[in-house]
Amino acid sequence: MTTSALAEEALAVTNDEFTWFQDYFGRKTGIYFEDNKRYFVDRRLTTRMQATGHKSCLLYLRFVQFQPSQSEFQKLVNAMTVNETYFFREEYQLSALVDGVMDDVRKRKARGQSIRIWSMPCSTGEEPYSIAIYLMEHWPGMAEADVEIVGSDINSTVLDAAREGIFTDYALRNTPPNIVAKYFKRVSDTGYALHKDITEAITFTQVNLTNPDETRSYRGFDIVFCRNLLIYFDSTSRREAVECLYGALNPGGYIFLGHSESMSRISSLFTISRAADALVYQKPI
Amino acid sequence: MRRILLVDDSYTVRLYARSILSALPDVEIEEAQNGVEALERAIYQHFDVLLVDVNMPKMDGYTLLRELRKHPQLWAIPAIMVTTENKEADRHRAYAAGASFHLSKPFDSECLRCSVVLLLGEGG
Amino acid sequence: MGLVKRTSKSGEKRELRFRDRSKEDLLAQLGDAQAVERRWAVRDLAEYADTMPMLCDCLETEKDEAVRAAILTTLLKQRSPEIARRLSGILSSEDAALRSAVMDVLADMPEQLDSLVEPLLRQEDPDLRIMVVTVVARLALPTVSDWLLNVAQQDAHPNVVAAALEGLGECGTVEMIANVRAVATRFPGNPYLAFSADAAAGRIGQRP
Repeated sequence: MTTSALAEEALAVTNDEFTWFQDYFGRKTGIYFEDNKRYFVDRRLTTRMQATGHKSCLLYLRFVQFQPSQSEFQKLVNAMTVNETYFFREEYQLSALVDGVMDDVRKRKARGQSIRIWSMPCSTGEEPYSIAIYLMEHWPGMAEADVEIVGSDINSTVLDAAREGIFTDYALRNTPPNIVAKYFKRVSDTGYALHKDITEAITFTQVNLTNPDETRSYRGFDIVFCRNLLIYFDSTSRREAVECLYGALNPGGYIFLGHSESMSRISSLFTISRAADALVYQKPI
Repeated sequence: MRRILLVDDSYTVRLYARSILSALPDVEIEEAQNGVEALERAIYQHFDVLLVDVNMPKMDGYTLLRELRKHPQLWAIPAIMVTTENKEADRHRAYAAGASFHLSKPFDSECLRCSVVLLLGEGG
Repeated sequence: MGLVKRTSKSGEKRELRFRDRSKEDLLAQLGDAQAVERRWAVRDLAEYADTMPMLCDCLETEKDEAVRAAILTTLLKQRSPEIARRLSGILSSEDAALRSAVMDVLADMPEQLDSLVEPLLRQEDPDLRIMVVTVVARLALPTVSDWLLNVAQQDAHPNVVAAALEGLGECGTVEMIANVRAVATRFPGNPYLAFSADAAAGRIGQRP
C-alpha cells in the first residue's frame, strides 16, 4: 500500500499502543508523556505512521524499535520534542549571569582559559544566541575573557535550524529593536538572519542527556542552562541527567533551571544561592 | 510580622503545627517539604524561626541545619528540630547540628508554642 | 576575547577514556583517594551488573555526597530485588543523609521492593517501620493503600500509625474513610493521632 493511500484520519492509536509508546519513548529518551498529553502524542504518531506507510501504530512502533539505522526513531524524537522558545526568555536569569555569576566564574579561571557555557536543550538556538548577545551587550568582562558557548539538543532538526540562524518576528518578540537592528538582518517577509560572526561562534551538538555514553565527553563547563527539560523526565532518567550535568560542571560551576523548576524535587548536590533575582545552583568547590 | 518556616515532608505535621502556631499574634507561616526547598525559601525571604523534621526526601534536617550554619546570610536563624525519638543521642545530635531546641514527635502543642515564642523573642 | 569557538583540545588534561580501563581497573578506582575519581569509576561500572554488590558495600562507607548519589543512580538503573534488599538494610544507618538518599531511590523501585514490604513492616524498630511506611506511601503499586491501612489499624507505635495515616491521606480510597477515622480511637489521649486520622479522612474525601 502506498503512503498516499493511507488517509491520516483513518489512522488511530489505541490505548494499549499509547501505553506502549509512553513506556518505550520514556525509556529511550527519559521523556515521559503523561496521559493528558494523549492528543499531542497521537497526532504526531499518526503523522509518522502515514509518512512511513504503517496502518497500525503497533507495527509502526516495532519498525521504529528494530530499524538498524534508527533514522525513524530520530524523526519520532524530533516530532515529539519541539519546544517553544524565543529570544531573551526568562531574561532575569541572563541578568543574574552578568550580575555576579560570570565574574565569580572568571575569578577561578587561569589566564587564557575560556569560560565555557552549555545550553542544553538549545532547541532552535534562541537560548545560546540570547546568552551570547546578552553577554556582549551587558558584561564588561567580555572585553578580556574568552567565552565559549555550546548548544546541544536531542533533536537534529532544531539543531540544523539553530546553525542556520534565521528567526521570525515571533521569536524576536521580546527583543529590543536596537538589538534586532544591531545583530540581525532582515532576509525575507518573516525572517531575520543573525550575523554570521555569532552563528559561527556557537558550537551545536546533538546529545541525549540521559545516555551516559553520549554525555561522557561533556566536561569542563562553568555554566549550564538546563531550562524546562528535567521536568519532562521520569525519576530515573532525571537522576541520570543530573549526574551528567554535575559531571559536566567544573567545581564552582553554575546551573540555571527553568523559572518554575526547583532542585528541591531533583537533587541536593548543588549549593543554592541568589544572584540578582534568580535562584542559582552551584557545584560545590 | 514574624515569619515561621515549617520544614517537614508530612502534610499532616505541617497542618498540625500551623494550627497551633497561627494562634500567635503577628506571625506568617510558610512551608517547605524538604531541606532543599527550605534553603531555597530562606534565601529569598527572611524567616525568624524554622521548625525542622529529620527524615525528609532529598535533604534531611541535620544536613539542612549544617547548610544553614555555613551560609553567610542564613547562619543565625534559630531552628527547632523535631525527631521521632526522645533519646539523649538525638538531642545531642540536634544541638550539635545547630538547633536551638529539640522536640520529639508527636510534639506537645504547648511545648511547640512555647519554644517558638521563646525564639521569637519578647512580645511573641 | 569575546566569543570563541574551540578548535583544539590544547591545554586540557587528557581524561582517562572509558575504554582504557577494565572492570578490574574501575573496581580498583573505587578506592581512590579523590572523590572525583571514585565518582567516575562508579559511573563507568554501571554496565557491569555483577559489580552491584561492591557498589552496595561502598555506599555504606562513602562519605562524599556526589559519589554516593552516583552509586545510587547506578544501583537504580540496574535495579534488582537483591539491590532493593541491600538498600532496605541501609535504612538502619545512623547517617540521616544516607537514609534520606536511600529512601528516595527505594521509592523508585516498586517491583523490586514489592515482596520485601511485608517483612520490612514487621521489623522491631519503630523508626525503621516509619521509614518503610514513608517509602511504601511513595510506591507506584496497587497494594499500597491496603498495606498502609493494615499498618494504621495494627501497628503498636503511634508514630508509625501517624506515618501510615499520612500515606493514606495521599492514596487511600473512599471505601477506607470510616476505617481511617476509626484509627483515632486506637490511641485515646493522643491529640496528634486524632488530628491525623481526621486530616487523612478529609483528604481522601476531597479527591475527585
